[in-house]
Amino acid sequence: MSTENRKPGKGIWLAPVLLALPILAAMTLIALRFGPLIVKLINAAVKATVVV
Amino acid sequence: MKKVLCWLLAFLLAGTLALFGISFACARAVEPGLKEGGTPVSEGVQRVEMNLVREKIEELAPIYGFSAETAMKVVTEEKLAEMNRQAALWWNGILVNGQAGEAPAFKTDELASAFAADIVSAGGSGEDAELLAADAANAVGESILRIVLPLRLPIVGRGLSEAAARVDLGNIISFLLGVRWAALALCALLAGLIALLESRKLRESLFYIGSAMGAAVLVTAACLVLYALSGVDPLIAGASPSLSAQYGALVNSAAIPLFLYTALLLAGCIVCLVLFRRPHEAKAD
Repeated sequence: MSTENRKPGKGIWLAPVLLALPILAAMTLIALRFGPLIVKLINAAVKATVVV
Repeated sequence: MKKVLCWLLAFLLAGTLALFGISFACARAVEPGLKEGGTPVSEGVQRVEMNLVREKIEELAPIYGFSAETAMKVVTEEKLAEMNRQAALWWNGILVNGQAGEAPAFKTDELASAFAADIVSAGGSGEDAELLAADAANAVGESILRIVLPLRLPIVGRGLSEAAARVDLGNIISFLLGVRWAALALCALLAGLIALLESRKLRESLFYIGSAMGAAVLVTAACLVLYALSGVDPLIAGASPSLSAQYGALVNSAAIPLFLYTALLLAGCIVCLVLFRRPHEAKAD
């Protein structure tokens, strides 16, 4: 995306999406890999410490 | 090369802006609990707790043979507020020193004498009535404590003392609260570096900074979606309705600043990208 010599098109609005994509991809991968484990740990902690 | 560096800085800025927003919102939720004496729960939470206390008393009344109205005359909103103040102090001890202080307790003397009168008037004998009234008062006091602080206090206290023997919990909490300011300083540094790299055409830097702001909005929104999908709220609601009300109030106090910050970032992104486009449009005309 050249920003120096030619007039920027509507594509500039896509820049934030492109910039966020790697972070979103990493977050999704981490959530898929560790999400269930984290939820299980929270569940176990809640069951152990909360009085029903 | 300069452009690659700018994109890299913008990428880092996006992550740091999102980190600042999330850590700022979390700190806003936790910080009131660090004040001396802690922060008691809101009126809304107290109303929920009062309803739960009423339900519990109505459940216990036929078992022990006391009148629910008698109990509700003793268990007033002021007494519940006092219990909440004690619970806030208990949390304050954990947040500041990393150690659980004295567990809150509901004074049952007044309840016991009121119940004894109830049981005697229902035909119970004096000594038995006193014993039964004491049991009933203890059961009600225990239920109130479970509603105000629905945790297994000995387990939490033991866990905290074990952890305190290995790490300084108070220090860790103050370090985590400081993360937001470190992130904010890093944001300023990264934005400054982008502006410095594009110092000849300052408006060019608006493109990178605006893009980073927009990306931070998307990342923050994704974090909120992941949190909503994690199912932590229903998990807590299933475990204890009073804890769910307290946790809900805590999440709300974090959510409001986070939404405001996200809106601010979105506005910043739009302004930066529009300002970046404007000189080009003027030249094209």
